Amino acid sequence: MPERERKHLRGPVWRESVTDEVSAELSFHVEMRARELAARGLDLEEARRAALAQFGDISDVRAECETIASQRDRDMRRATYRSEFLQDTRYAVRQIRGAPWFSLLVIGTLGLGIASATTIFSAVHAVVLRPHGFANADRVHFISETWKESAGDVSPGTFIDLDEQATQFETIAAIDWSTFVLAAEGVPDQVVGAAVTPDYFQVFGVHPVLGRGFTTEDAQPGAPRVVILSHAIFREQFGGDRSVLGTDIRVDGDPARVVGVLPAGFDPLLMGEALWVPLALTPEQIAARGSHWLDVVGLARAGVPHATVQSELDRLAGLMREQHPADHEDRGIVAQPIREVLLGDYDRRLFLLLGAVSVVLLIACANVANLLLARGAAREKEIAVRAALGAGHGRILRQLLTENLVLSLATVALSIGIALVGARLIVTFAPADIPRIAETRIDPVVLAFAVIVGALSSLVFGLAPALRAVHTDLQGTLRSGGRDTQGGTRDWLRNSLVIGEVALSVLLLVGAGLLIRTSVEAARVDPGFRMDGIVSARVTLPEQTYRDPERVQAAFQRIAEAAATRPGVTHGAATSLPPLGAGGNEMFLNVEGRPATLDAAVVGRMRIVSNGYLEALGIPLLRGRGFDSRDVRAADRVTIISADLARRLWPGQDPLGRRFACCEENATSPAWKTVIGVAAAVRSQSPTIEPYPEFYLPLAQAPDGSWNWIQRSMSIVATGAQTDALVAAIRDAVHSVDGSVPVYGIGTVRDALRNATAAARFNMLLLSILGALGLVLAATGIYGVVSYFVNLRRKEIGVRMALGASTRSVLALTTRQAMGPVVIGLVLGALAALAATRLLAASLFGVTPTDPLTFGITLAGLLLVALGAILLPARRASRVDPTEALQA
Amino acid sequence: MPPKDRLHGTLDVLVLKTLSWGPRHGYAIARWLEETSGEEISVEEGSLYPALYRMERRGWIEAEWGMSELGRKAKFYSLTREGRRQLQQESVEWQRFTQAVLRILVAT
Repeated sequence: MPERERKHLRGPVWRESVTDEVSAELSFHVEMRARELAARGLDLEEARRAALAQFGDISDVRAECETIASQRDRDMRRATYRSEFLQDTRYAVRQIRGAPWFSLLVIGTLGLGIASATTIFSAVHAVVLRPHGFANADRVHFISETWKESAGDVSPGTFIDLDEQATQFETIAAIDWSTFVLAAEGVPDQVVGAAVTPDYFQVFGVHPVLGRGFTTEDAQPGAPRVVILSHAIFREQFGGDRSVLGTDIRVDGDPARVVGVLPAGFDPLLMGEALWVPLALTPEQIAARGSHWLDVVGLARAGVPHATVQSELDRLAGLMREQHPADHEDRGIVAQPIREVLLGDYDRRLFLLLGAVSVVLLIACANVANLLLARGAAREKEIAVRAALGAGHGRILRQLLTENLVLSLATVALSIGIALVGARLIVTFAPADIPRIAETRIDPVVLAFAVIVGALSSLVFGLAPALRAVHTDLQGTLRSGGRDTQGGTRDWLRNSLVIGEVALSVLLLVGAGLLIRTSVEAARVDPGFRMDGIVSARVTLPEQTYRDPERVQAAFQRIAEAAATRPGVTHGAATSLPPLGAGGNEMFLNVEGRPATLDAAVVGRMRIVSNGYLEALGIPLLRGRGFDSRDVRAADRVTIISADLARRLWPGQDPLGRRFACCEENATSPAWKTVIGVAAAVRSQSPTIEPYPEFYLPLAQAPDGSWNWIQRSMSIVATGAQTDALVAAIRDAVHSVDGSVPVYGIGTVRDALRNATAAARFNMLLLSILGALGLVLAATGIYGVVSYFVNLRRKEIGVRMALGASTRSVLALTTRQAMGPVVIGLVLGALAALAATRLLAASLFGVTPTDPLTFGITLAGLLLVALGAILLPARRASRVDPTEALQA
Repeated sequence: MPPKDRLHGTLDVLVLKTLSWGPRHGYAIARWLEETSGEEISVEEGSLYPALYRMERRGWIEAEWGMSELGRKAKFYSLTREGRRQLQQESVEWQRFTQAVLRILVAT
């Protein structure tokens, strides 16, 4: 309907109100009729009355016409607006295509900023902020028993007391972690599981999707064995077949009836359990208040603050100290919100990243602001001309708004694309030990937030010059040739943006630099043991067939020997703690001749190892001898201690031949262990963690009780040239001793090292990417501003050169002026970094947060980049042809 | 008696037809209808105006203020291209309708 459109473009025919329009038309009609009637002979009054009567109900007609007319006018306004919007959009697209580099720069800069902010924030959200996969996450507490300041497991007696007496908890439950051999179809598989008291699932408010939870009867000693499966194992091992419910499966070799399946994703403590069995505490276990082996979780009553929970626990701990002074001396009970326990310092690390990301977004916004300001200034003349040609202020602003919207739309499209790819990359490259990072999805709310921030900044800085342009005196603008008439204020604004960008970049790059140095230092550290050509695998002997400690010990002894003698294996050995693994097995050592109190005890980490372990790991024996065939079960107990432990136990003395008691004694008959050797200190957990005082016990003399703590599991290590051969050798060795025992956790020590440092490297990578992004953005920002100034001053520079200024002096002048804000930014950024890098301290290794080298290189590097960004346009300034510039 | 919308439609098509000879104001349309139909069709004068406004909104006719014969300002309506198309279509439909009714009435 082109005709109609044309008419609408002309604007409404009738600019008076609808009421006037209708009443004028209707009264014209009535009057004409009256005249006609009068002409036929009626007198005027009569004719008028007759005309009205003939017309019908005039007020009804008037109302109807007014309604339709106002609808008509609304339609017209809409059509006008639509066609103007289309016009604006077409114009905007033309503008954007007319300045492709400018547009690409704006879209790219803001798109990258928004996308990186969104992606990283979404990761933070997945890990830290999103509610956990169970109800009442804020009410669930992790309860530990403390000794002096250190928190540890809870004894069954304490748990029973808490269960009966703690009033601030709705429910509490105890957990005994363990691994189980699960035999579904043929191949036995080693899975993580837990024995839990019946209320465990209630603490997390979770109900089985199939079957039932545990009942009190299930937890009675001697009750029929039952098991509840995780959804993952139900799917993978049993094909998601619900008929498995009520059937018996083999858990650790014995049949157990499947009574329930939990919902998918239920993994509240991030242990990845595959199954749960009821935990039945025997009267003997409850009576042994000195042995601590339970994890305890409790659901606090709704609305009860943490302080109230804790003060009740303090009171109960006091009661226990009175009732059982021997076992509870120096002991307390603490409750920690589950989030703190699970997330530890991930939240700190991720919030750090979030800070870095906000900085990048800020730099991007500053950049875009600068670009738009410069462009706005350049277009002042065009806008003034359009205003002169009759375009209303509102109309011009609307047109510029449309232009900004089109630009923003392109930016949003690009940033969503980059963000989606970024989220994929994070999920792919994130180390496995960051909980729930694999659940990273681009969060629409976050994306919307970043988009709004970006769009707002581009709107504000895009419209500001336009607003000024439409309000300035047209004559002046046209006469001044469109030159900036308020140069002073806007120079200031632009320079502040440069200062901000440079300062923020310093902050980012110093952070990235410190992490890069950390990673370099960490790679340089010698952990003190063999890293290459060594494979480790874990074996757990099932309790059912290996109840007797001697049998366990003999089996591991045979496995270690078998592994050592396989072809392709240089050394083979067994160890209770794998090389490069989490800590654990920390023991109190009481030195002979000193009081046997916990106060006087020294803490050391115990490793039970087969005879060839030190050689296999290449850990040097500094003094004395290694374990050998003399050190059998019946012989005197011996130990090898690390140099660190030696210093701690007998500072400045010869440790050889001295004795300490640990790990199996009771107060009356301590089992003394004689030090027969001192081994070099090693960084056994991670190259970035200082050596911990450790001691080794020979496998043949492993304390009987220790098999329960370490759950009858050991790591088998083998060294040799070929990884495949080593893996095969370990499998063969294990199966030659017991064919029904699964081997799991197979991998090279080098891989274990890589995993141990994966989180740190991931952090470093992200921060480096952000740093590089910040650097590029800041450089383009500086370049843009200087180019703008240079273009603005072409005439002035031309005059200077015409008056005899040399190329060099123009170059120097331009550079000096442009470097001002850069230097201020560098100084401010360095000061901010000095204050902020303390937050990084916990992630650093081998460098201080104020590392002069990192600061120096960053500042020098940024200075160089800035200089480059300035010199490019400055050289153009110095080549200005005076005559040309003056004529322009 | 045709249903009400048919009546609406009737008035619409008559107005369009009236305007097909050239622009005229509301009163002139009413007069022309009276005269041409030979008083057979009595249009209640008032109902003419909502019909005019409705058709204007639909874009079939457009209005412009001009001078009437007696030198008074009056709103003149004229057909748009769309209105012309509408008139054609409506006329065809009317012929079909009346022929159909006629066929039934004359059937023996």
